[in-house]
Amino acid sequence: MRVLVVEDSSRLRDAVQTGLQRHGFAVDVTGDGRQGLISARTTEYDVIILDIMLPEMDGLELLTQARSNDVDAMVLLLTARDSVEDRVKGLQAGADDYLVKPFAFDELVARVQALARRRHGARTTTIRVDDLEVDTGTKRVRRGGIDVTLKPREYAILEYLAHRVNRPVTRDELEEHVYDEDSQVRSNAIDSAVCNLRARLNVASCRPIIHTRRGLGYVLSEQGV
Amino acid sequence: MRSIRRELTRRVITRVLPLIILGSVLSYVLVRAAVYREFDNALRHEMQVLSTAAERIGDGMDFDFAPELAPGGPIETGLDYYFDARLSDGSLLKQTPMLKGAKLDMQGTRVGVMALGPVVLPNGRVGRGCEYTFEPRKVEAAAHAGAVVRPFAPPGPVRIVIAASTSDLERPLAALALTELLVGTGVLCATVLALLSSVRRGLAPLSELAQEVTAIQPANLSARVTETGRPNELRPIASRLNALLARLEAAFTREKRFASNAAHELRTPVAEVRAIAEVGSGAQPEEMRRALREIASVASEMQGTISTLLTIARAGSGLLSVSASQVDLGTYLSELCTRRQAGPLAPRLECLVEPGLLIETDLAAIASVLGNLLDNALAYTPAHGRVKVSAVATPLGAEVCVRNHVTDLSETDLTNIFEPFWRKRGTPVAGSHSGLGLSLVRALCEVLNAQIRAELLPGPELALYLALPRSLSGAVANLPAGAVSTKSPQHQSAPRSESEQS
Repeated sequence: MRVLVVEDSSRLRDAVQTGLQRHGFAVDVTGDGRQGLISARTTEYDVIILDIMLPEMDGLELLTQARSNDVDAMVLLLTARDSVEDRVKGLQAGADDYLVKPFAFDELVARVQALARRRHGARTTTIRVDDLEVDTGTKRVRRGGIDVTLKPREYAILEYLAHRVNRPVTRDELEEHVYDEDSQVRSNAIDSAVCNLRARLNVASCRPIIHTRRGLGYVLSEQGV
Repeated sequence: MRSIRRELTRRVITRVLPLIILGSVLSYVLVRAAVYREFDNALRHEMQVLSTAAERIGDGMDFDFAPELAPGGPIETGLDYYFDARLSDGSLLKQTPMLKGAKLDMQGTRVGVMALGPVVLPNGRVGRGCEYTFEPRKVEAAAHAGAVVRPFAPPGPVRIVIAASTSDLERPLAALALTELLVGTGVLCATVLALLSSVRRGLAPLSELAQEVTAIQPANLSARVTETGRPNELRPIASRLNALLARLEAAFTREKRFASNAAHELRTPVAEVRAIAEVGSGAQPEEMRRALREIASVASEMQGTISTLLTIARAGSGLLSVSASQVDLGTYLSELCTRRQAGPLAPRLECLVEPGLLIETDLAAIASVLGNLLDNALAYTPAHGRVKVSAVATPLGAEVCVRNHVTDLSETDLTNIFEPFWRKRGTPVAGSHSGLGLSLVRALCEVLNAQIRAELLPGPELALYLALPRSLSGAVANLPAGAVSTKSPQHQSAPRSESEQS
């Protein structure tokens, strides 16, 4: 899942970026509203974490403009403003959630995960495909009842595919949602990561579950439907 | 609870009621007096007629009058009427037959004087009487024809008393009194009703105003009372009330903005500390050390913010003292600019100060004021912008001007720039600023007896003018009209506190 953090406090920005990356998110950050709008319009983020009081352009204006430009990412307003009026104003401007500073980091992660689930139409944290279970809350993967240990990047690819069961996902799309701006992506990085992912999943079961569709990308499905 | 309507009604009624009663009584008394006056006139006229009937003829006395046949007499009018004419020795000359020799008695008068007064009639009724003692007209016996009533009469005046019952007058007067009582009561009731209606109608605008004011909710301070269409007496009240509401609304808005800004400025560092601590807790030792350094840095900044807020609060409540010393303003400003020019913003800073600008002020406070003015200008000047610092002598001391380019500041913003934590939303700023610099400047200006005002110049440029007195107790020039000032009307010297935070 790819997340954009727009926050003028560099310390908070960096801490949120580091924390979310540890939870397997690809995170981009920016410190001003104008750059945040450019990023939101040019990259398909799953979740945008947005402060309200920002230099160059305030968060609510950014949100309004982003929504008018068909940016459909889930937006979490992260702000020190805690009045009901502020919350209502933020939600009416197009935000999907509202978190007041200071906050517990675990709560932020949980809310971001919930927003990501909502974006992909999932209601529970567990996605089941054949004998594969992906728990997006605990980041736990089981196949045939056996725990499978994955690297963060591999898990990120699997989770993205799991949110789109039976739908082909292109390499570019995977790249966009799994890697952030700072990542050095090699040309075959996705193929290599998917190959490793398949190998780890096949240890628990010999049935292939990630299928390649020529010219379309990858599909997570029971029988390669 | 007192009610103007009830009070007004009560007062008017307590004043009108006695007037109505007094008017009724007075009119009755006047009518009664007029009626009795006419009655007395009739008696007097009757007396004059009777007095002409008495004639002295030689030694005798004649009384040529038959009252029963007189025009307007008792038979014709039906009055209960008597007369009694006696000679000087008290012997009877002539009287109405109904008296049957009884004497009609009154107090007695001198000769030639006619007296009127109450009298009790022989039948026991109350009446009015007229008494007249006079010298009768003398007639020659030769000229008189017919018999004489008293052939021998003692010399001296004749006394005539006539009396008539007033019972026939009292009946219409009683009817008049009853009529006046009924009419008076009716008038009183009608007056009260008309009064109540008039008071209600007259006080209706006041009631409407009260209803409008009552309808204003504490949460809706933008509501205003209607001023147009109000009576002249209420228009100033409505106008003043609206002005008060406007001031109250502005104060609440300012307070709300301050609370919101303060929440942002104080919660963000707490959020930073918490996020850094939580994210760094499971990290490698090196990363954890970096997190701790950042937390210490945030704590230091929060300490600075709290220190500045305390200084502002102390200055505002008169708890900051000042100690006067000679300050070479020109030299200090030049050194300050030189120090700031050592930074990356150096090319944008121009300093033009007059040499030998000596003023007597508090060094620490003025250093904080000037430092904050300069830092604020440098922080908020956009790229390729310029900051100009100048200082000139004035008749009352010195004036420092700090001008810098701004991007989107408006005239309205000038009323807010001295508020704590106020920052133009969306304005880019170089470095970390809490938004307390100009608030501190304003607070310290109060202590230094100085004036700070802001103007928006073409460019656009923000110009902050600091007028400093020659000495701490000195006055500074009045501000030009329209300028935004922060000088309070009263200056209080305050005790000294800790050093200020720029």
